[in-house]
Amino acid sequence: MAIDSIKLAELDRIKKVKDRLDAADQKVNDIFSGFNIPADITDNKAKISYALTEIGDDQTARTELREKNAEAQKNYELTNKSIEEDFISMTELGNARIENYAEKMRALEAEFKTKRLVEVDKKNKIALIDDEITALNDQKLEIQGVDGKGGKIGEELAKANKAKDEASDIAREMKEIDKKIAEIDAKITKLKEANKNTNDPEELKKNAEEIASLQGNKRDLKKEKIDLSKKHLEKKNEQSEYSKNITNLENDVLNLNSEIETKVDEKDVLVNELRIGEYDKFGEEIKQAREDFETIKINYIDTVDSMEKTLNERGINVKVARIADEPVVAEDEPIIGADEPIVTETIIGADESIIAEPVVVAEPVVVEPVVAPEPEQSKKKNEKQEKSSSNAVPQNNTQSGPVQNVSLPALTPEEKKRANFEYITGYTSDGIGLSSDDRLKRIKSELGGRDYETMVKALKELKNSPVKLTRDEKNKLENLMETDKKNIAQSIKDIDDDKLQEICGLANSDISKKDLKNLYYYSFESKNKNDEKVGTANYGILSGFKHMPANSKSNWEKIVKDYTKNKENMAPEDIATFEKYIITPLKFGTLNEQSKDLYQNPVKKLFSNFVQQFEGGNKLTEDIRNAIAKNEVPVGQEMDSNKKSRNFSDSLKDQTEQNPPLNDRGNRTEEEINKGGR
Amino acid sequence: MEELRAKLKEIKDDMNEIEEVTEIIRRETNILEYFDRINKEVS
Repeated sequence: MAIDSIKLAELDRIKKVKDRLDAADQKVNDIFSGFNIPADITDNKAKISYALTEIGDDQTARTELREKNAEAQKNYELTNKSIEEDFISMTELGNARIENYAEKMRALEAEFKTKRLVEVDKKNKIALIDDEITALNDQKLEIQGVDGKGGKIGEELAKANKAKDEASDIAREMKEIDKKIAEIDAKITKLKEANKNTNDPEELKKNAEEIASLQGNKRDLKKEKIDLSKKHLEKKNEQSEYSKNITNLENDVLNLNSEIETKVDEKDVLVNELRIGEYDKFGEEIKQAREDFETIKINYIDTVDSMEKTLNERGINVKVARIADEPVVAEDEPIIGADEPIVTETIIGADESIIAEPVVVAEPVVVEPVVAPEPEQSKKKNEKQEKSSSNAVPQNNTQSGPVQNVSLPALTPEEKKRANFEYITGYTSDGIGLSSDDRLKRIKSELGGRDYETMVKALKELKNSPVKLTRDEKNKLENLMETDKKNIAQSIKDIDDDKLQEICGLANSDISKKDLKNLYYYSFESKNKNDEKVGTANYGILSGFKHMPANSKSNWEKIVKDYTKNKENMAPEDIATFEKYIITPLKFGTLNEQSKDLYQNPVKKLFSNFVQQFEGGNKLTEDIRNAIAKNEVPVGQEMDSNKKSRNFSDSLKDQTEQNPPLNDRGNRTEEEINKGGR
Repeated sequence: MEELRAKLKEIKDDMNEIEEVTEIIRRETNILEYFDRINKEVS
């Protein structure tokens, strides 16, 4: 049936129930028609109290009230023949809608993040252009100086002026020389005239010697003038060279202006396209919608609890499927709002502190609307389940989740890295770079007397802090964690079997301690026995999934399908185990890694056997329940574990017949290794 | 952006529908509780 038709059917159902409730309300109101109940008392319970006060000990009135009530109740229950069915139908509808909403919300947030990242990219480009414009202006400043002073042009101009001044000085000196030469010429002329007017041999001789001396001086002056004229030419050439440099620099400025204009135009285009503020605002709207929804969901869950309690008190033993009481979006996947800027590369501050780190944004997830389940399905689901008070594991949530998660798009390498890091080690990778000073101090203090759980919790809390760790602090923190992980890895190796069971979350399972240890060695040691980067046996199990070849996806889908099919019959702690070790790794794509070698190992078979165990175990539970109902077995009698159909020891035994057992140290034997098989 | 807004609106509509379901369950509960209480009080 098309989604629209289903929705129409649902709406029609809602309308019918509403009409019926209106009629019931009317009947209830009729009961009180004989009383003088004030108009401002509208609540039925308050009306009862008021009516009872008015009646007092009047037995006749009490009988009348009881009869009217019985009639109204009869009418209501006649029209509402199956309250149980109606209730289950409504809760199924609510569950489906909530799942539908949650998927859509996640898809919307992913899409929003992607689109916003595009905007942020524009913003980053604008910042880059601004930097380029600033650099160009700096270049201009370097050439032009400030207010025409300084700069390369100023320097060249000063040199040109200096050359000009020196050339002028030289020219002046040359003129002085010319003047001196003219004076010498005049003296020589005068002496020659004197020679014409005398025959005195002594005077003629004296004049001739003086003329010769003056002519010698004149030659020296001419030579000096030639030298000066060469220097004058050199200075003129220098001046010309400096002027040419100035012209070139001025051309450079023109080119820079042109480049700046181009950059400004580019920036204008991006600024016009930029809608970052709008995205910030919308991010806040999404955040608000998520918060609103969480409130609605809590109301829904409370209401379902209340109804269930009421029905149980009336002897109608109903236990309905519930959505998981978990946030729509995990807390470590915050939506990016105005207060959480996206960056695309690590930005390091001048003081070496990390100002911001890249945000990994997933591709939008295309989610088909969830189809509401058939109400009849739920009838079989109820009695065998118990709500787990210690965890919030989804129960009977068969409409979405596991199978859909298998079809999530492949994660980017960065996302895989992050998912592996977070879900294998328990650390929040992007939380490391975020801390306020106060919180940092507190966390450092906590880590001082740390244990693994406290440390993981503290690190997760780092996430929402606005102040970033410095690189040095981050390194210290990572070293601290690394040390802890090594310590934990070592402690796992040294741990006793009971503790190992507990760590694996399998303390109450049928898996024997020995089998578990074998499993641990199979999946952890056989991968890389020297790999101490891992901290818990969980990693060993998870590494099996992580190294699943992509082509085995269909097998996993089958396992998940089996799980989904059997989930309604599983105990809450078994569901928790399955969710933890299978569904979560599936969700984060860790099954799609390379390395086929672990595929054939007991990890896969273990979980196939889980499914078998769940079925067998449940049958026993059912048997006991039936026996109790027939009073054949006293309540509290322990189940005979020998009755169980199969347990993990059996199944592991089966598989170890195909796969030789581990040696004492939990490793494969030399013989087996040499065979090349498992 | 308009496309995102449309999707958010659709989600909000879904929320309203969930509230509607909640309201119906609450009303059913109230009526049942009412009948039970009056039976108990008047008996």
